[in-house]
Amino acid sequence: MERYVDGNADAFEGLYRKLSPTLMGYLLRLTRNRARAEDLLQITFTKVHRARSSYLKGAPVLPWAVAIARRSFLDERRAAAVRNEDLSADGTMPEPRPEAPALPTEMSDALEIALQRLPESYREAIELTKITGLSIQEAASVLGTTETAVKLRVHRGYNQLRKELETFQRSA
Amino acid sequence: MTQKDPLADLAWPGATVAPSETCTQAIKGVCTKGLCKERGVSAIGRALLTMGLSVVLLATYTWYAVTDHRPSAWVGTALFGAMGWLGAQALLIFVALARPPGKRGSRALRLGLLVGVPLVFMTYLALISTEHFAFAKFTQGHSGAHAIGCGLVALFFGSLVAGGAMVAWRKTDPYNPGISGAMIGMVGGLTSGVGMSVACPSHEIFHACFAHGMIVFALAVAGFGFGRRLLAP
Repeated sequence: MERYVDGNADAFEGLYRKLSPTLMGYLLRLTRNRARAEDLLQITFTKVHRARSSYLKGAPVLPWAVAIARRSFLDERRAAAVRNEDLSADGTMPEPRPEAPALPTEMSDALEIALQRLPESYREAIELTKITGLSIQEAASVLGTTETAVKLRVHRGYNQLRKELETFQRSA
Repeated sequence: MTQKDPLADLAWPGATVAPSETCTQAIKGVCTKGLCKERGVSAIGRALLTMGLSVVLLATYTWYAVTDHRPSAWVGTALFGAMGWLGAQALLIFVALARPPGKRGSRALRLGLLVGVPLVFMTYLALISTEHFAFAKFTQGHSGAHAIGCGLVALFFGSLVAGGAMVAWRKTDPYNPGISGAMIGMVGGLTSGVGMSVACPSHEIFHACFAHGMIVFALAVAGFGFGRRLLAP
């Protein structure tokens, strides 16, 4: 990151290779829509580019970029909530969001559905720590809360996931 | 027989997804076009700029007090207290803003400072006040009007310091921009409040607390709102 701030384009290549798959995975989990996730990835990297001079030397890059991606998502969601949806040129309604499969057949499907059913705060805490791979401290920074709150959310989320998956195991 | 924990050995979904080639090319085009060295002001530089604004405002208030022939003993005592508060502000900026995330004060600490410091400041103003009116007398006549005038002047100059500092710290905090904005607003309010205690001839307790002290809370709240817009990248 510091070589990128110094104007090294090759350093950006390395930074992009390292950050983009994780950020794309994170944004895809937030949006559940590949096109929106790619739009947000572009917005995130544009913001990283513009704010690169304010990057604090020595600070970890991934949580910084994840925090920017999360804020971009929240801004976009807030803007979408107040924006009127227009009909497309052929007069049809915008496409509805794809729904999750109703009946899981595999454990991985059951996990996806169980994660979607969790309250947003629990799901975010679990996704950041268990899937994106941030530490509790980094996840607390990204979520703007305390480490204790993140641990509590993860613990409560686990309890709910356990119940959902036990139900699936019994039915399977 | 106990049932196996379903979360044990669970295959979590993959964390990484490769973006499309079109998306990658678009990002690289934007982020590497005309790329040059862009070293902004360091965090310590921003902290010094913020403190510089505070010192300039305090000097302005002191100059006004001296040219308006305030008693030199009173100005000297008030300046002595103001120096202490400048030191406290420097410490606040260093702990809450200048250090990188993970090393700077935690969210709980910063929230505690946002509530505790203005309360301590109000207590300080109350303790150094030498006149005590009944509250009913304060709200009537000249005292109330003077307090409103003082409050507006303090708010104006405090906003200038907080606004300048907000520009210096812009786009630096994607984590908690609201809290960082509130800290900056609080620093602006402290500077103006402590400066007013040097420049203002009133030594009355309600005047000091309402006209000089409350702006710290007001600017912290305003800073929270502006910080969310200005401090997030």
